[in-house]
Amino acid sequence: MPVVEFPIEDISRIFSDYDLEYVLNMLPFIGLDLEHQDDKNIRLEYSPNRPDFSTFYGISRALKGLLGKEVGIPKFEVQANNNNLINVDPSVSEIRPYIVGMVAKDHKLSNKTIKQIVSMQEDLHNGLGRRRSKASIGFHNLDNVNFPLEYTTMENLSFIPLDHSSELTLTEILSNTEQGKKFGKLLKDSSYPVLRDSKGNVISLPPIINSESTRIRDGVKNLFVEVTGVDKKVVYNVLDNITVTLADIGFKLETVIRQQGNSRDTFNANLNTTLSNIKTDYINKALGLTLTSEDLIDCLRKCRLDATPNDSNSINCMIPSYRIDIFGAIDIVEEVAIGYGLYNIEPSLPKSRLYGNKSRQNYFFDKIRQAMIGMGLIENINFILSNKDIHFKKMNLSGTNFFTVNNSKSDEHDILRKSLLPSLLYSLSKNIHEEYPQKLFEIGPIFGREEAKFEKWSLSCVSAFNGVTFSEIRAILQSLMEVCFNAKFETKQSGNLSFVKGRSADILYNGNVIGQIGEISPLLIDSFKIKMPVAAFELDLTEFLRI
Amino acid sequence: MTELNLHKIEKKILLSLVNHDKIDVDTLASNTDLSMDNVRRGIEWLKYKGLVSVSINKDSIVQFASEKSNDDSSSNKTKNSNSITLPERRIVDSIRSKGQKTIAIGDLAKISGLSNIEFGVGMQNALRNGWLTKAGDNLNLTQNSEKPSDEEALLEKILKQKKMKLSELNDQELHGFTLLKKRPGYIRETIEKFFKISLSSEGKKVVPTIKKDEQEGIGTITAEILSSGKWKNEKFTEIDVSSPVRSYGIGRTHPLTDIINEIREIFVSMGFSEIEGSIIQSCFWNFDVLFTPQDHPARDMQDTFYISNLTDENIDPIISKKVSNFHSKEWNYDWDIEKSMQTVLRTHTTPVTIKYLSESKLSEGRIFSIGRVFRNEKMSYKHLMEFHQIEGVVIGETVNLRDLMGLQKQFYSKLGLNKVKFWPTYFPYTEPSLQSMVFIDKLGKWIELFGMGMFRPEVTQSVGITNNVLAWGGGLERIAMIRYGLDDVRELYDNKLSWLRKQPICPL
Repeated sequence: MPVVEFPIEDISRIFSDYDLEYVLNMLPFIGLDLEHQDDKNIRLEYSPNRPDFSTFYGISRALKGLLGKEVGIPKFEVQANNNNLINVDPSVSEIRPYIVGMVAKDHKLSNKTIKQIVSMQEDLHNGLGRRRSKASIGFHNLDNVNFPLEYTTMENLSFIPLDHSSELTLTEILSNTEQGKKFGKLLKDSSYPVLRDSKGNVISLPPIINSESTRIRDGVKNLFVEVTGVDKKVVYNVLDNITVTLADIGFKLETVIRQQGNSRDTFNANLNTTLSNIKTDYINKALGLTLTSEDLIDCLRKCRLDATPNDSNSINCMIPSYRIDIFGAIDIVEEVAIGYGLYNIEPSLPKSRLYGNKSRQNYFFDKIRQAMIGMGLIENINFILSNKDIHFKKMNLSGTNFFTVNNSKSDEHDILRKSLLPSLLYSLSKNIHEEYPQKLFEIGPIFGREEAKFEKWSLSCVSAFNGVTFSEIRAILQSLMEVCFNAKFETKQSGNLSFVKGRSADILYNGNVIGQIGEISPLLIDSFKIKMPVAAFELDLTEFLRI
Repeated sequence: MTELNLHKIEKKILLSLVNHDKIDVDTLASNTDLSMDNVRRGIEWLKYKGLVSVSINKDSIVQFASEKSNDDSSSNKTKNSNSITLPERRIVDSIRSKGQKTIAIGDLAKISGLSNIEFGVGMQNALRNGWLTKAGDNLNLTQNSEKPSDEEALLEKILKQKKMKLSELNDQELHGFTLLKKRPGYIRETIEKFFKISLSSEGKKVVPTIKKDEQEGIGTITAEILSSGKWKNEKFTEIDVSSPVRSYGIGRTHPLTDIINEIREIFVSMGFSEIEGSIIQSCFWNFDVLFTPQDHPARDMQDTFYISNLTDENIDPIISKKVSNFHSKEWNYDWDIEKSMQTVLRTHTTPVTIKYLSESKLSEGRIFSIGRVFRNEKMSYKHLMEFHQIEGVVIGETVNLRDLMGLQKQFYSKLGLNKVKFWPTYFPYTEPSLQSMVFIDKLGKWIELFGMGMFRPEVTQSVGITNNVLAWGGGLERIAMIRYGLDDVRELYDNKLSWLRKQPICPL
């Protein structure tokens, strides 16, 4: 989850007419999780579908709404300026076709504000921009940018990239800079998208890096921001979020015109979509409330949306373009709940009264557990993800038909267990200093490719102590089968390599093999370092119980 | 001081300790005429009362090389359950058995019946012991040969006592030990721990108060005592009823199973029925039906376990058409059915829920599931790569967000958690979405427990549901950690017997 951090002082300054404690306590009720708080700063986690929460300004905007200090869609002006022009070369259409921009003037940037902007940029890159693959952002010092700009492609170029002191060629940027190595591979062609100003200076090589010459720093007053990308909707949404933030910071905004051939267009920063004719009944039914149209409008305005009555039973709702999380009427339901205040909603219970039961499968498993603990056995629960060493090598088996998972972060957990016995033996090996006898069992799912069903339920049992024999383990199995199921089974000599030769058997029930039983081979005792004789069985519960 | 209520066994032990310091358990047993079990039990009790102190000594122990090989007839070392005959003894015995005192070396090798190696060793030792003297090619038997050698003296002693402490050997035996240790296959030396029992200072004060005239009477009640009617005429001796004894090693279910069962019962008591489903799921059910876009970060291999070489091509065409439409329209990309055929270890139990709702066409009801879910995470004290998730689901025409909150409060209260609050949050497949915060008295703080919400229309409409669906769920291990006071979640899957044997089945 992305985080946003800012000084608490910023909150107390803006909400000076409220008790600070009260304001801070409201943060979770707009969907922010407190991650850390000290004397000076506060760090909050926000949901990735709310990029408007990536700065203090966005959070303050929402808080003002919920507290009733400022409601409805935020209003700001954007002046038209025909000089702010980007000429788009058709060659970009195959590589990174979309570019939009905005000019922001007359506000002196402080380091604190830059920190907020940089953090917002980072979060937009990673979230909406999907690690810059869908969209990327450049902030520039407008005073060092000469309009009109040209957005085109080049195969060779050189400029001083951000955080560098000398010119680098394209090749050098791609192979020697951190950003080049990380983001260069997003572009597959031999030519690269470039934004140049009227003097021919490269100001940006999207999505890789900006120019050092247009860096924003403490004291800069005028900004130019550009967003490029391959997904038009995302590119627009990113600039929507930046624009409203720049307006909140206090900049005066100007449009940037995009020209390609004869067609011109301008990014409209004040675009609202309208969801029409949302039934008040629909909202009330979902929430279990009885709010009037006026109440609903009031709640929505507290969430910084606007709404008007449509007819006596429905409303129309306006959503600013930066609110990318709202798809349809059900999202308006949630906004109403938040605007109403979750703390104001009285929990109730549904009127329906139904009768429940546990699954047949778990009914059986519980009975098996009861019988097993009655014989003094202790239940284990092991991970399903295991490894080939424990499962096959130590078991003296050649592993086949097992499932592997891709890219596991742990070498010890990269296959799905094919049986439970290896983990129980491993468990014995970890407990060699504990008191004997050690009698363990486990019930759990196992996985194999050869079967009609990939997943089966299994029961395994081990008994370890000096002098344990086949008879001992058969006695456990026999008692279980008698006591739990009054089931008659047979054991028939088998050649399982994990057991002592001549002391292993298939367990047969109604003529089908449902498991193995035997004295564990000293080879395994050795490889697991158990140092004590072990007898064991494993039973296929899916086959036996037909579940 | 006041007289303690001491058991007969305890009194015997205490009295026998008066004249001995640091006595071992075997000796104590023979001095008191008690069984080893009774002595051990008595010492346990007395130790608990602080009347005796137990110190641990280590000692070297000498015994036969292999206890079990005594009856191994294939051994040519002529061992049997009664004795070990050294080759030098067999040499002199064989001379004696011929009734001679002098014999030629060549003949002796034949009549001894020993292998070349054994004969060589035997001769060397017989000469060193002075049992034989050499005269040219002949050997003379001496008087000395009738006395046991130092080695034989040691073997004789071990034969009687089975095990001997090195520190208790006399000089002759010690010499025999030094010699025999160099000869493989006869004896071995091991280190063993010994418990030495002494009176504690408290114990010394108690001893004078013990009444020596121990009352006579019936100790352990046996079947014979009952059938003979002996008990009618005799008193029963008093026993110490205040002493703790050794606990039984009882069988038990895993603590996680206990919590799962408790939660299962809570669900059932609230009218929920349990459903089951696969752990391996297609991306279609795990993500796509649940309105999670195909480029969502949660679907990265970094976060989700994909199964190698396994696809599920059985994608319902009607559902997939609706899913494709919703994704393309609202998330603005081309939905790819190939990606939805990939298989994963389910990242949550919700695919089981939605599949069930889709297949059963349930329109009113309450269901729940409890099962293993997976995240490709590095394991740490607070993260596991697989854990248990619980999920409760209510479907109905009139169910609503307030009901969801109410059910949740009821659920928590049945777990003994009564302070609950709700905050908004985000899940791709629910709207509105809430998270619940619960106050844990034991920790003195609020913690985040289950997430919940109403299934989005994109989800319900894809599978043909028209009623509202409420769902809540979350990990179980967190509750287990609080209940069992764990700081490291991995301990739940360690299966340490010391831990499993100790956890209360029913923590108060």
